[in-house]
Amino acid sequence: MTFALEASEVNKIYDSNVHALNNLSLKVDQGLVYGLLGPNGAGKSSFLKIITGLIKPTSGSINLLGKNIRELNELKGKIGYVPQELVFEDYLTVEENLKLFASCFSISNPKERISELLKSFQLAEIRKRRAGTLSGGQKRRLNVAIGLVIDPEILILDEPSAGMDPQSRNLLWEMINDLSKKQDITIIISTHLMETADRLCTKIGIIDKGYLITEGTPEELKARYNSSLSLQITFKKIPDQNKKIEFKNRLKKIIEDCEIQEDEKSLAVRGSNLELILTKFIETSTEIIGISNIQGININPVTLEDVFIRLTGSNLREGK
Amino acid sequence: MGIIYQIFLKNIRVYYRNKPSLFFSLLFPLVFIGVFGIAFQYGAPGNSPITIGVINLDQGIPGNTIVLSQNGSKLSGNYFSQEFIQILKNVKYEDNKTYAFDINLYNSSIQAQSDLLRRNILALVIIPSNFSLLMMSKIREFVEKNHINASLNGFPPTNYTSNIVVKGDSTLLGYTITSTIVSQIANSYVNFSQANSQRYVILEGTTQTKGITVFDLTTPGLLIFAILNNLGTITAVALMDKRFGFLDRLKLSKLKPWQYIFGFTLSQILVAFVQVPIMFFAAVLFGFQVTTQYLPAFVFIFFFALSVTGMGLFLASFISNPDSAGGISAIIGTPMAFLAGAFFQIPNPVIIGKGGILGDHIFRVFDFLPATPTLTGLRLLLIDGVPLQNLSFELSLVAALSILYFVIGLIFYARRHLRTN
Ligand SMILES: Nc1ncnc2c1ncn2[C@@H]1O[C@H](COP(=O)(O)OP(=O)(O)O)[C@@H](O)[C@H]1O
Ligand SMILES: [Mg+2]
Repeated sequence: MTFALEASEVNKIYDSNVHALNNLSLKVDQGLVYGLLGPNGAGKSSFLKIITGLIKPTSGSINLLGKNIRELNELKGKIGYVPQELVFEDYLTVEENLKLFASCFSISNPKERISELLKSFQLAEIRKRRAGTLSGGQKRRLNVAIGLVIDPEILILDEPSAGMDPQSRNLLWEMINDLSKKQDITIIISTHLMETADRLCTKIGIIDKGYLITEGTPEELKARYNSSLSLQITFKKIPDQNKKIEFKNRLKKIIEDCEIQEDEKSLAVRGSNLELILTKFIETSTEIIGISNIQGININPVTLEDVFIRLTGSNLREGK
Repeated sequence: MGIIYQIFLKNIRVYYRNKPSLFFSLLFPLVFIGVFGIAFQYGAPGNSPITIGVINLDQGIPGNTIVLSQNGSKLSGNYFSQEFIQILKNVKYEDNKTYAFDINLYNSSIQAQSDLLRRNILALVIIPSNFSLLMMSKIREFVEKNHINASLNGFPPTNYTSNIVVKGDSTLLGYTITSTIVSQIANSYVNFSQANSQRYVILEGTTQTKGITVFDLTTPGLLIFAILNNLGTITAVALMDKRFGFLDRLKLSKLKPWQYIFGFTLSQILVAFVQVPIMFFAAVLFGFQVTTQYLPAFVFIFFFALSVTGMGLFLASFISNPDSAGGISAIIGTPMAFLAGAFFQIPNPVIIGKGGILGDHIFRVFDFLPATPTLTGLRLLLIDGVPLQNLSFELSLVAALSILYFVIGLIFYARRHLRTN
């Protein structure tokens, strides 16, 4: 089995003395959709720029498609890279931008490819508009489309859906799914959104503060860290503080490994003993809070977000 | 080839779709053309006489030769050179009142040279020792051409040559005007045989010169100014291509750095090649007196645009914020236009004088700026009508400086932006 990407002990220390990557080692099998999940500043972009040869690591080695990244010349035309920033020429139209990049990548049948891309990214109607005048979502789509002017063996997308409207995002996800099914392509995608990673990726690596914390399929990760449910009870009106405390203490006594999260009008509990939680949580809450003050009870499957919070102790969206 | 063309096309499109670029590169210089054109087209320079010196080295008509004028009187001694000086004295501006020159006659060339260096005189006209012999050869030409029966004993052959020299600082307006007028008058005086009436016009002693206006002299400067104004856009584009990841994105493509630079440079040269005819046209509308030398001017423009591209690449390797590119470029470019004398003459001390390692040519402080020799070359071409083949010194200087500037800019840009770090 050859790996599409083999990164070993990669460190990146910027001039500003920021240690962006810490001994990061990562292997990605060919044909996977690999998600690099982490909050802002985790080092995702740095890592992706290093594996595409755009910046040099401080130390460590990278093999991409079986070639050392230092031999970038041999990899040219095989790597599709979509940077996190919008990178195209604002003064050129959508079509002119695609033409420019297609020409720089010397692809064999540019006209056909471009009209394909215009169609699949729903840019055909605005092909004559200057890129600078597009909406945020349209710009994002163009940014990704440019990465696909070539038929890459490996496609690297740095937060492609950030700033996209829901329609564009769905479109992009469909495209990525199609792409990964249709051909033998490896896709590495970075995101700070659980939803993206969960829906798109066959394997996920969680990265924080430059460290690779854990790896696995979305299901594995969820299972490993939560063989459990999360139950949430919402109240009609804010319950007495004493009652809340009493409720929490009682629960902790009954369910040893439970974890409780609360806000004003709700309480959530998580734990591994499903039966116990289900029965005791409802029993105790009706007893202490009173059935009349209970608005509803939700049973939530564990999300990757939960996994992440447990792993890093921080919230994804806010970063550290 | 396709890649280079696409890069070229991209830059051209950015240029004409970008309002500030269009403004600085075209509209702004055109406004200058308008302002200078209206302000200076009618007024001949200063409408006051230019103080010049004349040394007459003419040895006169040889004593044993008989030269007769057309009315039969015998001419002798310094007749021709005296007449020539008289004509110069009588030259008037177009207003028909103001004399063009205030002439100091010198016997000693040392005194004349020192007055020239002190700018007591703005130009020094040296009438050569064989001036009379030259005139005699021209009479022979006239006589032979018109089959006049006359004795030409002692007259030199028709291909006899002699040079009137006009010395001075070629960046000074007074010098340029003087040398142009003197060469016009000398040509018509000496070549009287080519048009019968000409001699008589001159002999009337009221020769008018179609005065070169200040505007004529300024137009080449404004061309330089316009091209220097591209510096902001060149710098900004070179910088933004890096800053916003365009070059990085292209690093993964088959585009090679030299192709990027080549396409980039070509586009800048094309911009200059479009600017210049538009400016020319506008200048002509405002009364610029074009010589037929405007096509060779593009050779100078080519090299100058190359040097400005080099400067843009250079600046782009030091500036990090594209928003400041315009401002910094203006701080650098505009003084260059001034120092080159694009708007008005400024003193430009000589480093290497005549007779130095450059032979007949001089090298002045601001000749290090490609704008200066470009301007000198353009003036000589466009105003004085000097053919390109006689400008090999200026052209080589411009070419050498431009290539130097370009290479320096390229090295800095490549080190800063075309390498992976
Ligand atoms: N060019 C740079 N110079 C200095 N520090 C940088 C640079 N790029 C990123 N960093 C720092 O490196 C860390 C990781 O950044 P980045 O790789 O962009 O994370 P992410 O993409 O996960 O948000 C951050 O602390 C960021 O400030
Ligand atoms: Mg990032």
